[in-house]
Amino acid sequence: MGKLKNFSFLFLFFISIFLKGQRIISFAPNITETLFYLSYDRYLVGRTSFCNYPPNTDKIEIVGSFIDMDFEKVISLKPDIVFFSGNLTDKSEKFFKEKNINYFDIKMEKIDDVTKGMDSITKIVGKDYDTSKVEKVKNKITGIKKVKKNEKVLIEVSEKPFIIATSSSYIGSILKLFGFEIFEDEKPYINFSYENILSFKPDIVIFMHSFKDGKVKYSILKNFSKVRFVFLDDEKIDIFSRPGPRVIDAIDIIERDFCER
Amino acid sequence: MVNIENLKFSYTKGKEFLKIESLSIKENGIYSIVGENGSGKTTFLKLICKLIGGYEGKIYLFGKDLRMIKEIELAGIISYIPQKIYLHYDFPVYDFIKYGRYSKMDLFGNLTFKDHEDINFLMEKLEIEHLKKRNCFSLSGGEMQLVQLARSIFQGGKILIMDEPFSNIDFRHRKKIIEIIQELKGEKTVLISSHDLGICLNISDIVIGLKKGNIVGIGNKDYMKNELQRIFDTEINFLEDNGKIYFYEGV
Amino acid sequence: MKGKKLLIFLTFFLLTSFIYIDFKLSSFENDVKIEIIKLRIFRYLLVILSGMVLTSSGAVMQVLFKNPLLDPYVLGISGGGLFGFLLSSILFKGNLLISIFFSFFFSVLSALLSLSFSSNIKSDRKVSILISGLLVNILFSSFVILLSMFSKRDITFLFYALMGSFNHVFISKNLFLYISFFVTVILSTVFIIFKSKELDIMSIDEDIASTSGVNVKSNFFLILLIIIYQTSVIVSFVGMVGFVGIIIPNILRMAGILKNRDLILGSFLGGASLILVADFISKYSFSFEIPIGVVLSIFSLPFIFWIVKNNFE
Repeated sequence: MGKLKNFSFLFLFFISIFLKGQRIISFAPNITETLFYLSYDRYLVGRTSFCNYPPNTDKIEIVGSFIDMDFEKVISLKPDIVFFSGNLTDKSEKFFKEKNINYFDIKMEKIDDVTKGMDSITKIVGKDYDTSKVEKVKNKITGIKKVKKNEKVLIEVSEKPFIIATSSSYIGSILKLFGFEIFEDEKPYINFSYENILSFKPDIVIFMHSFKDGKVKYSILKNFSKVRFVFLDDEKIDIFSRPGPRVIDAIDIIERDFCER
Repeated sequence: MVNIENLKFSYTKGKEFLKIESLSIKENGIYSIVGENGSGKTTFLKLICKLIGGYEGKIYLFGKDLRMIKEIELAGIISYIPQKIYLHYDFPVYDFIKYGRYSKMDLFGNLTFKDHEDINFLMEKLEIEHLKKRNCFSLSGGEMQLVQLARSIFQGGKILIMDEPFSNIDFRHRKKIIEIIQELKGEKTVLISSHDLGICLNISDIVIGLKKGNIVGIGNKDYMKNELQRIFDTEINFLEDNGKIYFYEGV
Repeated sequence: MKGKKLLIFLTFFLLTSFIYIDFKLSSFENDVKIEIIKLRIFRYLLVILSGMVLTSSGAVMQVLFKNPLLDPYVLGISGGGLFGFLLSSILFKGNLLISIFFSFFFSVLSALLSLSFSSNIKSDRKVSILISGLLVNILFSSFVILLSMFSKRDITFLFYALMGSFNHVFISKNLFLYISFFVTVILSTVFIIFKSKELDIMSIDEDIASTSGVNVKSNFFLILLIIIYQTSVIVSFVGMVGFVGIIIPNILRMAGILKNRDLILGSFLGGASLILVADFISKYSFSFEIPIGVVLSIFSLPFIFWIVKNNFE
């Protein structure tokens, strides 16, 4: 009997190790969202203070902000894998190299990167995951239908300084798939000016910040009365600025709010 | 012991400020320099202390060219009390005096037991031993001048240079300073610049009159009392009594 | 009396050191404890070394320029050092040795610049050196921002460099370099302690110092150069950390510590303790770390105001 008891304990121990698997720290909100979406959240032990979606992220310990990290906490969580998304600094890189911890910078900038990023995350973490979930995202993206009219869309990211998102940005790349005309640039976010407004002549202006008086400066446009202004709330701003599984919501919102009429 | 030959000095180019063709200051005794404001008294004293460079001509100290004498060597020959010191930070009185012998300090700033005895002796002699534990900021002008005098005497050296030591000093301290200077004259050469003609003439062995950077008169008090009128370009009234001279403004 | 004061400082310093290293240590699991202690000790050493150096160099600088409002930060040295560090990390991909050399070079340059500026301003020396130092600091800070825009480096690095941070990553490969810099900085501070008697006389009066046998000019530049070296090394590691160099020496002077040797030794303990406390606050007050410069400026502004009030009547 005693032997069997020991044996079963050993068995349970191995099972628990297997189930426990890797310990993951995510240093980007969109990676956190992706990990949750792929049901990897049981491996997730650390996140940034900006990771706020899905709501049960707050059970996971904060190990830093987007810009700096608490090295002590990182060490104490004994991570096997650390994910960044375009925000890997020289300092962090130096630290993880020094401590022999695997780190990955999963760059997700445009809409195509979402599924690519998901694929690389599943490859890194391995283990069991629901393939149908990745398929669902892929199908949603390929199912985007172009709108017929070529409407020009300007995406204002901040008022002071005046910065807009271009076709290389996440939100820009989604809208481009719908057939909207977005300001073209290699850089995802660029400085803009009043002269640029006049020469671009947008039909739709999207505000990705909460400064509601941003509308005023477009009154210099001749067709000001016809321009549509769309103000996004904080949740929608998150959806449109984090390349991740919520691309599904993003596509729904665009279909609902932008394409009709 | 101080010999000056063809000394020329100017602050701005082409404008001669001080010009002394030849001057010889002998060992032991009190020399005082009188002259109007801007006549070059302070400049002259600073030149001898090597505080100002860039002069023409030669200054010899004990037969040695001043340009060849290093600071640390000069510290053993000359001690200097400036016209006014402006302390930026407070400092303990005892250490202030102690630093007179910087040139003899070891690496850690320590002095020998005898040096400390000398300080105590000097402070007693100058009647400032009650200031021993005080800091400089809390001293009056007269007390500070006595502390400076103690520092200079402690430094040693054969020449003591004092730039206007009596200005803004109360009567009691002034008297004390004069007493000390007169005691020193047997062992040191004391060089004083001052506007107080009475003190200058009565205690000095030699009085040097400076006018616009030139020496216009040099000699003992009996000779100089009549030269003063020429130096200051104004009528100078004095009384003589018992070998002493008393100046008054004549109003 | 002096022994008593020293004992108070020492106790405070040891207490803060203990809290700094031991804080919440028991909450960590045993197998990571060693790693955590290692991280903390490296950071602790960096913190106390910076505290010692920045504070003592502030104290010395105040004597050299006869201005109680000076520290390496105000004179523009740290701005130049940071610029040099950033420039070399762009040109030479972060080689520590070259970076610190560059940092030193540009610190010297900025010091010369602010000295020559101030000699051309016809005003009270106290004010003119402050103004010119400020100008040089602004100039080099702008260069830093400009340079970082060209270099495509992450902006967070810049943010922490300009405001100071002790969250430094030490690499075991560079251990020898760390030790050698540590040792040279310590040796140079020891040298400055030996120079404290010259500093004492120079603080009394320059003419008196000169006639007492001190070569004022050569001592001034030698000591300044050493301070610049120390500051540039520290700036290369932690960025710009201001104000400690002003606060601590002035508090010590108020407490009656007047001789430079005691002042420098007191600055070591006081500066190290203050930065330890400030870094502790920056580390633990929020879920993320606040730059040390932010903590220091918030807490030290009343003191600075008080010092200005006492010195520019």
